[in-house]
Amino acid sequence: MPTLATCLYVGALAAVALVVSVVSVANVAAPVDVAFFAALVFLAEQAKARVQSRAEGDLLASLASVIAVATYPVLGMWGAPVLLASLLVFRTTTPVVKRVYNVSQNVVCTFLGGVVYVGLGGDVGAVDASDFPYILVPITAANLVWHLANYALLAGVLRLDMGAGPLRVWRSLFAKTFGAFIGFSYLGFLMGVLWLGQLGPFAALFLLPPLFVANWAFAQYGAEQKAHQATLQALAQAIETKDLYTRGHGERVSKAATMLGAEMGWDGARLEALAQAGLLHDVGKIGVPTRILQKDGRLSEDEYDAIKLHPLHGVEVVGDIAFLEDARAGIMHHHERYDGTGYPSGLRGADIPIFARVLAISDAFDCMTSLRSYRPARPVEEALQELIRCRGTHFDPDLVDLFVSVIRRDGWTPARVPHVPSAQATAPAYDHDDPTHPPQVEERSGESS
Amino acid sequence: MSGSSLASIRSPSLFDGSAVVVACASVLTVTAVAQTAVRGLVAPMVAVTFGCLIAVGEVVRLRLPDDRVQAPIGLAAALGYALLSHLPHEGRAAHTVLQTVAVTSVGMLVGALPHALAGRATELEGIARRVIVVAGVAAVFRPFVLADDWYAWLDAHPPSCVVLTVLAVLVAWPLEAVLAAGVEASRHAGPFLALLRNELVAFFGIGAAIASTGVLIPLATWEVGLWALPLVIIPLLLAQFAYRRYARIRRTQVQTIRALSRATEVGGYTETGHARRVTELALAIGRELGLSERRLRHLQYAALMHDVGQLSLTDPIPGGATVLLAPEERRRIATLGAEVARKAAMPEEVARIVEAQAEPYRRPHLWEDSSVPLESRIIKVVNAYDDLVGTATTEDARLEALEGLRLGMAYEYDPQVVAALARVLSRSNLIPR
Repeated sequence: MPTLATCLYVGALAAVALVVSVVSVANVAAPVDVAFFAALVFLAEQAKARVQSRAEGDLLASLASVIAVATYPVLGMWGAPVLLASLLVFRTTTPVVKRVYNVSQNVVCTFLGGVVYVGLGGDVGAVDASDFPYILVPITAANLVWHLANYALLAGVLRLDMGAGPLRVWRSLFAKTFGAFIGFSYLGFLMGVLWLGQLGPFAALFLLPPLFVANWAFAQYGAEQKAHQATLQALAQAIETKDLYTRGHGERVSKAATMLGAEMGWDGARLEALAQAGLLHDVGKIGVPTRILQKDGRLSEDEYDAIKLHPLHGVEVVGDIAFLEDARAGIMHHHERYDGTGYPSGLRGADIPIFARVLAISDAFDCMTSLRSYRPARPVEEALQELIRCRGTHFDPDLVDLFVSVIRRDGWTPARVPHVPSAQATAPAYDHDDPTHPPQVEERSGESS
Repeated sequence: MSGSSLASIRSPSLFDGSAVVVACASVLTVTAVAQTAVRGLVAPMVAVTFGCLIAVGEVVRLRLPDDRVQAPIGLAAALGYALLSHLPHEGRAAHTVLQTVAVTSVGMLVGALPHALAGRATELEGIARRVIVVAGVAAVFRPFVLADDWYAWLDAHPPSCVVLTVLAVLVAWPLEAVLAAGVEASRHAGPFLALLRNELVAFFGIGAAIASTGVLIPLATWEVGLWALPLVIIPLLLAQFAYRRYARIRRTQVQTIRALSRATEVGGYTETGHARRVTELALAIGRELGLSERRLRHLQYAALMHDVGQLSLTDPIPGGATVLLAPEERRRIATLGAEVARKAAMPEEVARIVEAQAEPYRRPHLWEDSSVPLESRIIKVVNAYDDLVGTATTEDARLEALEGLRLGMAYEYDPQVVAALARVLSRSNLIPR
């Protein structure tokens, strides 16, 4: 339920939109064109509602802004009321407050853009070759104003409604698509120009295909990205059937690594690659016989060697998946130790790839805070103390400090206690990730250590 | 250009369709350039502007999610040039069909240069097809503009001009499809009609955006001159950008599914290379049977996934999960595999194909069981074939394996699929593997 402040904000915006609409209707010169534009808005919004109801992902272009820009050369600054047509869209699941907000915002943005267009000397009623290239100035300005006003209004309402900061709104909603929005708006301008020429409202027919196709591809991209994430998770889960205790381990390591990565100021593709590396870091266990993974107590040296191979198996499985080289290096070296006593390569200090140093900490942390057959789960604080104890020997000291501070600040939800069938519970398994229980390996010569 | 990732098994060609297309386009180009050189360029500024745009479009061509290579901006600009009727200052756009071809092919070849210099494929066949398509559209449309009485009539009736432009651009659709399908058919990629259908369907996507941009260019140029070009191209550029990202994530998805199937190999559940071989052969049979590209893609995913169900078993089955395993066991692996496919958010069709891969194609005393998808029957046959042939590489081993499958044709294996397998094997050089 929206707060009172949100309702007041939306109400005020709606009142402004209403005034703008009334004044515009009184001034507009071409009522027939208004009707056609309104019909177009209705059709576009109806189509959008249908696409969204099928949840095919986000849209690249806001059709409202394209049509809004199209009204400028035809109707000048008085075209804003055509956006009201989206109120007629039926069978939408959007709540009333949100719909009122969306419509009011579109009307106000369109009006502001129109004022800028006309104010800078944009032609209304007839555009021909002699107007170029100067006319690109008012239309570009109008375009920018439309979208910046849209951003400002949205940042305002999200601040009130969810307490979201303006920077976060920009990053999550505008940063990726702002350029595309502006680009598509030129298409709207062209539509207006052709509308004034021989084509009239039919201009829309020729402009919709590129818009539609781009939107379709963008929505497919979103859907496919979700599918890809699910496939990665399925790949990560494939190994978890081998040991019920490690269920969800990949996802939690991924989460912890992402927290640490974000704390280091990483973002975008790099953070995503880190998340995927965390998810898949143990995938190579598929190549280790279950018998060894679940073995009780002491391992023979051969068995320990088999376990030590799992980072290499992991790289083999991941193979040609097109993620960053860093992620592969992270999987390969997540069992290296800072003092050079880890495996598979015995790298030391800064020679260990940064992804691997991050994964090593996240991996050990999740292991310690999860239940194992041979010990209970440890409290978060105790696990952090253990990390601090091993800083410089096992882990990168600087990263440990960062990790401890981010976990203390943001908190951590440890693994839920798994439902382990009693038959399995009686078969204690050694966990190679556990820094507090170093592997008991028998010497090949037979001497016990 | 079509479906190269779905097409690893290629057979020796009847004739080289690609070479024929390139040869035709070369003859066209040489004639057009020679004639234009002799007569001089009509409206040189316009020609150079369009030529540059075509070249840029060729530089930024992209690989679509279905692995076709397309140059949306280059093709749209070339179509727009072919369909140009009016210019705001000059009046009639008086360039001939051959000048259109000359500007198009020179622009495209110049645009292909950076690709060649960077050591990438020049995709000459794609360029040749685009040149022929543009020549076809120009041959239909330009005579109307060049004939004085027709031009006067079009000038007086702008709506008729728009309709004529749309009709002319629609020539590009079947023309491109016939050329592409012809080349593919000459490579034995499947029956011509099925390939033609695939190519016609592939138009709905970026093809529609290219065609409508091709129509918009002359209309907008008529209104506002060459300044219209950047405005018209921006949306296509954005569409191209969206497609590029979509294509990239699709390729990554296939790689991830391959990783899943590789996990069964690393884990010792299946023999190395089994999933890859089954997938390649299954796709070859799918094409032979004329499946649509959508179904081929699902077949590819399902074939890669067909043994993934074993990952849900704690340890590999001793001796491997081969055709020799009991039917119940195979069915269980199929069910588990379908579960993984659903968990991995693959299309429901993929899960269903994996699920039914162990089912016989019909039951005793019943007609064919239509609930078993054709794709499942293909995987069943190919899987059994690969198990029977094993690592043997001789002609005899192949024939023996085929004979084994034919013995099971009464109930186990779909005779239609076995026959397609025999045809694919008979003309391919699958040995040595």
